Amino acid sequence: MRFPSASSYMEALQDPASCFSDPELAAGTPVLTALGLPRAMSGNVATVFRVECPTGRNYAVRCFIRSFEDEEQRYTAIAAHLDRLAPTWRVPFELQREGIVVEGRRWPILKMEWSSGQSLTSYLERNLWDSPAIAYLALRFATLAQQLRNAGVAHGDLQHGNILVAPGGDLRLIDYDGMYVPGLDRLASNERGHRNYQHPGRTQQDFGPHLDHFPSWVIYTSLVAVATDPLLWGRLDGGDECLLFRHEDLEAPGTSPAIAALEASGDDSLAALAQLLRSFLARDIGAVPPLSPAKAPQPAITRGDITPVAPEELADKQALYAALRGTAPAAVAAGPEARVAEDAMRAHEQLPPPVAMRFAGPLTLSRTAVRAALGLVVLIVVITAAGALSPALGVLALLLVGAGVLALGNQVYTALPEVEAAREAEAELGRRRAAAAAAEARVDDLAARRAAVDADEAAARERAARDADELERREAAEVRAVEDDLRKTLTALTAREQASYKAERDALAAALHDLHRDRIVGELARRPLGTASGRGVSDHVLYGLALDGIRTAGDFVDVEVRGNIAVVVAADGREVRVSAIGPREAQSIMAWRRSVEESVAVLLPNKLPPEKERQVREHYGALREALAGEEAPARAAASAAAAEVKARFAPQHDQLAVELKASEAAAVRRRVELDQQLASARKEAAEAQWRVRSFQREAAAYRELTLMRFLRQLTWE
Amino acid sequence: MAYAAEISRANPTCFLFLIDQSESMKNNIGGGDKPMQKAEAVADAVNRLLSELSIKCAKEDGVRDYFHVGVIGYGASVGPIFDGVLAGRDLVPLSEVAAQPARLEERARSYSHAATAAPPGAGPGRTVKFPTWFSPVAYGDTPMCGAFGRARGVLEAWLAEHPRSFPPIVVNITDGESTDGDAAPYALALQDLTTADGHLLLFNLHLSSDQSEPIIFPVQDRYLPDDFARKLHRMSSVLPDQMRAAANRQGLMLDEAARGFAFNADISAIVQFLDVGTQVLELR
Repeated sequence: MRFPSASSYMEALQDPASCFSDPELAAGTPVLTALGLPRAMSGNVATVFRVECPTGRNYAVRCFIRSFEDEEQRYTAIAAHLDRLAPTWRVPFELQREGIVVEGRRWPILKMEWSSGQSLTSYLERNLWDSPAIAYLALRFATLAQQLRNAGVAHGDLQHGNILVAPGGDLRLIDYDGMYVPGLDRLASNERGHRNYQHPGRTQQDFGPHLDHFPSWVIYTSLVAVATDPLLWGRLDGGDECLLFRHEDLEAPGTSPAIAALEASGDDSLAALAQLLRSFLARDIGAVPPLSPAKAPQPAITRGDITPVAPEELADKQALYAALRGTAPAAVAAGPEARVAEDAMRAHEQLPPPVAMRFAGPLTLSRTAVRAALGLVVLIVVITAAGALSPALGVLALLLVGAGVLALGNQVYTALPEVEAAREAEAELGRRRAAAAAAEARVDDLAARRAAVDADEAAARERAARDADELERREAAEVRAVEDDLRKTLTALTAREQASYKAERDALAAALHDLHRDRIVGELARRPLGTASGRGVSDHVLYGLALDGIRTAGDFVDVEVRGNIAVVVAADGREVRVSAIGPREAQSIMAWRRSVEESVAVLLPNKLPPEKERQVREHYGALREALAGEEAPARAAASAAAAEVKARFAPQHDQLAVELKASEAAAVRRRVELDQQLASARKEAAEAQWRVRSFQREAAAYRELTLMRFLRQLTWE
Repeated sequence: MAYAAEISRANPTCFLFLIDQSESMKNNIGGGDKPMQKAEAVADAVNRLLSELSIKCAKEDGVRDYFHVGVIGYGASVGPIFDGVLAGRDLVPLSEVAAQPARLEERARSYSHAATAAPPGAGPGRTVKFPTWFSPVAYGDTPMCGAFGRARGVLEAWLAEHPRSFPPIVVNITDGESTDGDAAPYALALQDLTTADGHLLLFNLHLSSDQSEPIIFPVQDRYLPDDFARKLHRMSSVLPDQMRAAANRQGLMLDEAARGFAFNADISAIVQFLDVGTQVLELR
């Protein structure tokens, strides 16, 4: 079930007469903000409005913004138990199951008596310098914890906002949503409490009378600490959703600044309480003992060990506190120039000058001795003047007396308690100066390391950028090589394709040529030489040629006349000599052959028969197809190679990016860590400086206490 | 562990709302009893959220600055849209926001808060005071890149002062695609901002004009209707645990990888989205 939002309740409260079913509340008026809207205060599960009623009574109306299913059972059991006990810390309440109408539906409210009081943090901030009051509050709280335990009740969420300090100093508890009372044993806890107060081991299943044990120790320890040293409140940023401890302190007590500060405080109670917290954190939550006012270490102020601080010292401490408080860690991180120390100094300089110390001890004896010595001096002078003593002896006697007075005076002076205190003050000042110098050195060291982090980060970023560039360059080079290979392969393929076209043309031409030759040879072989007889070639010659195997036009290719002899060149290259052929006859034979040839040429086809041409073209077509077939694999191989390069480089790119991210994250972490350390170091330095100043004041007060002054005082004053 | 920083006055976090003011925001939104412009519905929801945050951070000593809040509009121009005293400011501490709304509007009640039916015309109680910090605007383009860029500038400055805080939460509310370029790189750059506690959270709330089923806090982009939706999904951060827990308390049952993204949101989806998206740590 979704409960109404806080703003819906605020709207409803604008008209109490119509939203409340309780007649007293319906007649009341909610307290308004400056804007005229009902003034709200919110917690984790509820928003509370204050309603003033004509009956003169004021109520806190608790409206739930988060559901918890068994609230009725819980509140009924809680109310019954508390009514029976009527403890002083209780704020009476009444659960009204249908107490308010919001957005057309009825919802439960708690009508509680308005408890005037301040929350624990407000009270502490207003009474920080009233150490006895805070110490008393600590003891009251311890008593309250004991009351709760004796009643078998656990509040479940003890924290600064749920503990009110009433005007008389009585403590009241509010917000009972998570309360345990006997009878609720079978339920689980509906919350886990404020994490700056709870044992880190607390779970939803922890629900019983032991719930408050650990938070009680946390609160008690914080109160005792503030009562003992109010400066801790400023140094540990107390009051920021916590008292002095935060969940980080409770989760890691070993590195907790709060626990360390208590242990280093020099106060036995604080050290003991810090030890106890440590041991509880090492234990199971069920094994944490209850806080008992009789057994717990007491605040020093109630032990009578210390007296309340003098007004002047108080003003001094307050000045330092203001300086410490004025610089939250965030502000220090933002601007290192915000020097805490300077603020502290300024605050300090406004203090009145120290009161000079005087010799206080009873000096009568010394004074008598000195006066006696003076008398002796007068006596010696008189005796010497009277001539009873030689001048040399007189001077010697005077010197002896003078030396005796000085020696005695010095011894008495050195042993004076105020002089010893002055020495001690001077020595303490020296130690404080050393501590302050060490603290300043630590600030400088941290500041330098902080600057180094920035520089390292910049360098790392630059390095990463360079590495990334280099990687990209190598990757690009490899990809380019792959592309170059592909281009070469493709160029070669193109060249071979073009060559194939030329070869095809040549083959066609050659085939045609062969065809022609065959045709001519065939035709010539079918023409017998006899048909040439009509052209003036004698039968005798023809006969002679026939004997030599030349019978047709195809059997010879040429006739040459060499002197008186004609040589017939046979088709097979033989030379046939025919003596009877004259030049004229030879020409006639050749003319005949040419005419035969010409008559054949007319009949020659000018192209190949289709079948033959198809064969040639198919041959080269297939060749080219094979070439084309090589392109796709080449391209595929190239893109695979390029992809391989990319794949090979991708993890390296990723690696670089991851490394850069990691180093940046580390730098951020480191910077935050250093800023934190720097902030606390600055605070420490400020405090150390402040202590130097305090001790300077003290030492200055002793400055008047010189030996000469002492002697003078003994002699004349 | 990320997203676990304590939110306190010394370590506040911030909410920055980026609101689309383009022409199309004039169209009516799905859901609701009566027709309402998208721009109006968004202004109402965000103004109400500012009021809600103010109340939730109110303690006995006043409103605590757990949050710094800003509202940047993008349409005819890009810039902060607070009216009144806060005009021109990018990020404002919550206590100042709570104290200085631009107006207190007298509004008719959307619901009856009455325990008994009031007689008609029965004087007071018919209206409620509703604080508003800015008004709805709808003209111009959708310069989402500009808005992301502006947000980055504002938040870089804020982060320098709050390096340990819970990371800022940016809620971008839009009804359309960026008109000044691809917004994805700007969104990534924004999400790159970080504190010691984790990366900035960017949530995207997309509004519908029609009656399509709203999709709220999806894990995967597989079921998203189009590329634009998938892109916005990719630009949205995964919800940290406490927001998921808050959503689950409302019965949503989200997966661990659910992102701060809603598509085709109607009026009630806007309210739910803003509620879940601003649940950081338990406030006390």
